[in-house]
Amino acid sequence: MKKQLIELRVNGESFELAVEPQKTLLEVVREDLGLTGAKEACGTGECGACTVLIDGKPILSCLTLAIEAQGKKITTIEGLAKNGDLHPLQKAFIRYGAIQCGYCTSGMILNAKSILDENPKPSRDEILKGLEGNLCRCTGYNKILEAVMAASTGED
Amino acid sequence: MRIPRFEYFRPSSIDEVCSLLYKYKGEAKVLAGGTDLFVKMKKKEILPKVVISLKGIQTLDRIEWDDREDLKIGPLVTHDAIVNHPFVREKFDFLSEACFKIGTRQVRNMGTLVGNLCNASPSSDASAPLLVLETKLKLVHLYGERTIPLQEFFIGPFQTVLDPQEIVVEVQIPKPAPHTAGSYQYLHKASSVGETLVGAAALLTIDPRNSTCQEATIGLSSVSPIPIRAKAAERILKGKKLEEKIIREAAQVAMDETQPRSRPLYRREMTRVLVERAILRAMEKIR
Amino acid sequence: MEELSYVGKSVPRKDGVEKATGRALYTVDMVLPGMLWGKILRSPYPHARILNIDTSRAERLPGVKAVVIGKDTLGIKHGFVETPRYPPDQYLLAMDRVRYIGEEVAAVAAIDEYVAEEALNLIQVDYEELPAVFDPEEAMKPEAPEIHPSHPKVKEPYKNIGGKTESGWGNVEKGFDKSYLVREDRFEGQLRTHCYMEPQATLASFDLSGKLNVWTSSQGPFIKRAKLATTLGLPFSNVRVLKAYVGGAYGGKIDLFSHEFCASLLSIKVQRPVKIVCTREEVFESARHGQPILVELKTGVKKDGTLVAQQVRVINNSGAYRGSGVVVIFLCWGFVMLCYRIPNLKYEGYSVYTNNPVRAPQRGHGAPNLRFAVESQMDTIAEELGIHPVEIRLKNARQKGDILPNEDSVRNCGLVECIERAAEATRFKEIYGKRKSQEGQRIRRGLGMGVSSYFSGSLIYPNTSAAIVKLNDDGTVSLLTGALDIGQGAETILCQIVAEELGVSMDDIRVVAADTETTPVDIGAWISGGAYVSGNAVKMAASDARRQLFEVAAQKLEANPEDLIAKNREISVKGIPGRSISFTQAVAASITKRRGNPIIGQGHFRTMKDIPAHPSLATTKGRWSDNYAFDAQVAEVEVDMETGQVKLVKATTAHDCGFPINPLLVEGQIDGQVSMAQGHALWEEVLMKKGKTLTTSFLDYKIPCAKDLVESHYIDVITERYEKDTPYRTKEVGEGYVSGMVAAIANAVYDATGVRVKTFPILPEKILMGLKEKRNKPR
Repeated sequence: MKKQLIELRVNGESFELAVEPQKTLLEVVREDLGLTGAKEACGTGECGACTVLIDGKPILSCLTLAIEAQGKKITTIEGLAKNGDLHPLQKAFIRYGAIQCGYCTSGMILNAKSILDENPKPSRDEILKGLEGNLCRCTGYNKILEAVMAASTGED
Repeated sequence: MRIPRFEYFRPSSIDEVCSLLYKYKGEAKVLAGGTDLFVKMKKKEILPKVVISLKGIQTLDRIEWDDREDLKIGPLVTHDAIVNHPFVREKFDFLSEACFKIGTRQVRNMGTLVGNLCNASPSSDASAPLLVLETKLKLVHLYGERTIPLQEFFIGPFQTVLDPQEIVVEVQIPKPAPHTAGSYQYLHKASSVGETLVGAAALLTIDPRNSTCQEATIGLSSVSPIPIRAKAAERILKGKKLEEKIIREAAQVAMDETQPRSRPLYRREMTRVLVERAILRAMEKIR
Repeated sequence: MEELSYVGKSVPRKDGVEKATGRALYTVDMVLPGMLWGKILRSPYPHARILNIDTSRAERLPGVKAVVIGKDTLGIKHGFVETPRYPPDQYLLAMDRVRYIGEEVAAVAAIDEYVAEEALNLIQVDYEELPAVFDPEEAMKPEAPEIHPSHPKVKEPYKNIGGKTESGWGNVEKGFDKSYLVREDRFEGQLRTHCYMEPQATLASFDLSGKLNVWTSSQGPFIKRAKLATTLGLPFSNVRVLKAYVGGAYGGKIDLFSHEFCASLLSIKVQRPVKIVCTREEVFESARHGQPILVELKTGVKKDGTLVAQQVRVINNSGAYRGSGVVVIFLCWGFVMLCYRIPNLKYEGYSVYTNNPVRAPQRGHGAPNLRFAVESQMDTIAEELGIHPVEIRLKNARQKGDILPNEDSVRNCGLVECIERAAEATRFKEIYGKRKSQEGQRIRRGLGMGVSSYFSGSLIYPNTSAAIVKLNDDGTVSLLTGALDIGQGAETILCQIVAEELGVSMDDIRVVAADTETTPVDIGAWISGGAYVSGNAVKMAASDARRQLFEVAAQKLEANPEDLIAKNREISVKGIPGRSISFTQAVAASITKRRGNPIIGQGHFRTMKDIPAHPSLATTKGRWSDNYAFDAQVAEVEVDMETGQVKLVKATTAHDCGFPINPLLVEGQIDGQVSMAQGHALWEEVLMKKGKTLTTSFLDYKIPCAKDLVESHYIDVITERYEKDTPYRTKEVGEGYVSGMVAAIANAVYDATGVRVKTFPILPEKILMGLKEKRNKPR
């Protein structure tokens, strides 16, 4: 298939790329831009490991066409820390032991960020419901919840 | 997993979509959210030569209501939009709740209600609430259009009457009569997320003067090849005072209207339990 | 315990920042110039002869660079276990026969995944189907089709026996005769799977100097190197397995797998890097899942609940090759006899071949099934005798200093304390057994206890861990260890040990890990000896470095080495402020005064000090471990009596892990295992039909999600200590907490509903069925 020239805005930077129509945002981000934080754990929309933010909303990049992500603000995990300063969620995840193998971490943190951006003081149930689409096999989610709650109280 | 190759179109009007569907005669698929289409393509269950995206037609992303307060939902409206829409939450609360159950947060941001209906999974959570609300779908193709009840839309698991050259442009939900409320009850297959094992929706209209049930519609999903209305159960309730005995009878009859394929005994039993719960919950809301 | 600064503290993970910022590189993320994509062709039949393979059309497809089949290999078999009794039995690419759906038949390397997939479709394989068998008890029958000849040392007229373990002591018949109560039960464990988030993946790159470089998602590089080198016919030193972060393993990434071999072989053939990443569907369909085990348990007790005799028969469905099946039937014996004193035991375990994909260890490796059986039966016996479940356990629990029948000592066994404290914390005695008082309620609660034990390190290749601690001349430290962090925090705790021994901060230490070429050998993250074996090796290396630093410093400071302390990269004399030198100065002095010695500390450790080898898998004879962990867990469940749905509301884990090197990491291990136990006990199951996997995605096979979070409580039972300059003993925390919890959940369900379910998973319909049976039972 013929490649299309597209412009993607990722983590505040613009990238010009030539991609085939079926290429997913996940593939472009990982293979063309070298941002390997977003992961594929299933490829069919059930695990959430490929989660990135598009205009602040968490979406599954493995089911999003790169050509349809043009004109939007895309945020990957690599774009969260500003000038070397970790985002409060990243700090909290580390402090509270919410990371083990780390494979689900990128998607989990981004989704958690979108939850807190929408509602700075979510309830326990709201957080858990919001994170239901990010599977983690290592942590049982206990410390993830602690970390998100800590970040929501502005603890630093 | 890679999506197989296809040719991509991004028309800017419904007419263009219909022209393309006509031109590619069955070798084209319409893309709204992509959460069903791309999964099926990755698994090689379908391999369309052409994918026609609706994303270039922003007018399709609308929730509207007319003076009669009938709700109209366009094909690009996501589950998330429905969950959070103030009008839907107020007037069709159990539909909003059902959509909140669908998928996950990410899927709800991407997936559309129309896409979900066209996918026609027997366990789709939106189906039962939409069935009891007597929803209609407006379908268009290059040379005409038709509006059909949702009841007639599903014909088999993952099969609808939608012609390959047709597209759903509107979901029409009539405003419920006064003194009407609905409830959607469900059980998961396992854990707290994912496919629904049994879904039961009940919409009741109860005459406040004599407490009789004027109208009753009951919808069931995941217990038959297609989402169904439990019509025999509805007949038990209509015109009667909804006492415990009647409700139990209706739930029992609903159970017999199901044809579950896997875990049949458990699904039948849970149909009975959930229909009862849906009726009771709807009644509570009316009071 | 002496005042410690790093060991025993909840220090944040060393790799936390990398993982939180998306910068940690997993095998799936690795890219090399000129890299090709590989794919595997798998058998569609559960049992068939391969008559012919024609790869010509695939080879001609533009973009295809290489195709390999069995004939292109050296035909060397491999196996999880490779002993004279259990020689390797599996080819990495099928030769003349396939024995399960998914068995690897060919592999291609191409310029992208699309071409590779197309190439697979062009490979023509002619099969002749053979009769197949899928159920282990069916496979044992004389009329069953033969998958492999039964093991020659097995005397019974069973078919398809991959291995047998037989063990016992005393006389069970006499024991049953003099028992007050004898019970016989059968418990069935289901096929469950790991669901590591990172799929199986390998990148292999063979360079022109004749060296094979491999990145692979594993549980330890040294065993991969050994098996790759052997099957490829390369010297070990020509195979380098490098470190990549691992996205979870839980037992499913230990052994050598075909895709690792194929990526390597293809790379050797085409002299370009080849990457193979399995899809999630491939993982569900053909990767190794956990062993489904059947347990038949007959137990005799005295009137007061003391165990008299136990007869155990275990049948493991090992899949089409031996895999780790012969290990799990040995381990099941262990998991029977570790927790309670059993005067008379007869144990028999069979690992049976079936035409299913090969099975692998999964977190607990037999313990969940065994403890489910033993603990369920214990509760039933307790009820029949009118004894409280906590009492009966205390009566039989092993105590400190007990010598096990295999002559191992349980040493500072904290099991009794675990049981008592778990019972106390959950108010077990008040809350348990209140079923009658909840009659009529739709939602009922129940409490259950499960007790378990796990070995912490045993002898298995490579049988040793070693480490190097290098001082850099600015006073910072480099730790070289072969240990692999698969998420459990290995690098972090090893760093804590170095920090403690040398008095440097965690940030002063750089870890170089899991690279077979540059780091010393390590036992790997799968024999439950990370904290104990690798930890002690690192301790010794750091201690050695400190000793050398102190020798030099003692001269410079004109003091005795015993009077020196190291802190903040400085060496000073105890109690005399101002008299100190920096690490930098000490290293410089060492180089000057000791003929260029830059200070490199070395350490090594082996479990079972003087014992030559692992006990016999077949007879269990021999010493097994010098370190056993114990736990008692309590589950609190809520059951909807109308729908049968069970919710695990609270989990309490009282664990004797020796002492936690990092409490926060230990808590994380407990939480993760509680979550796995929840899925294992309540809903996880890989469904198969005639050798074909039906559950092929996370949609079909549900693992717990955030909404399933269980309130998790921890009780530390400290039974060991950490001291400078002596090896310490701390116990495993990565595997043993699944088994106690699954048993506890089953018992809690019984407490809430009165229904005893003896097969996993405890699906809602099984509970409703049980309730129905109870209602219909004549009084």
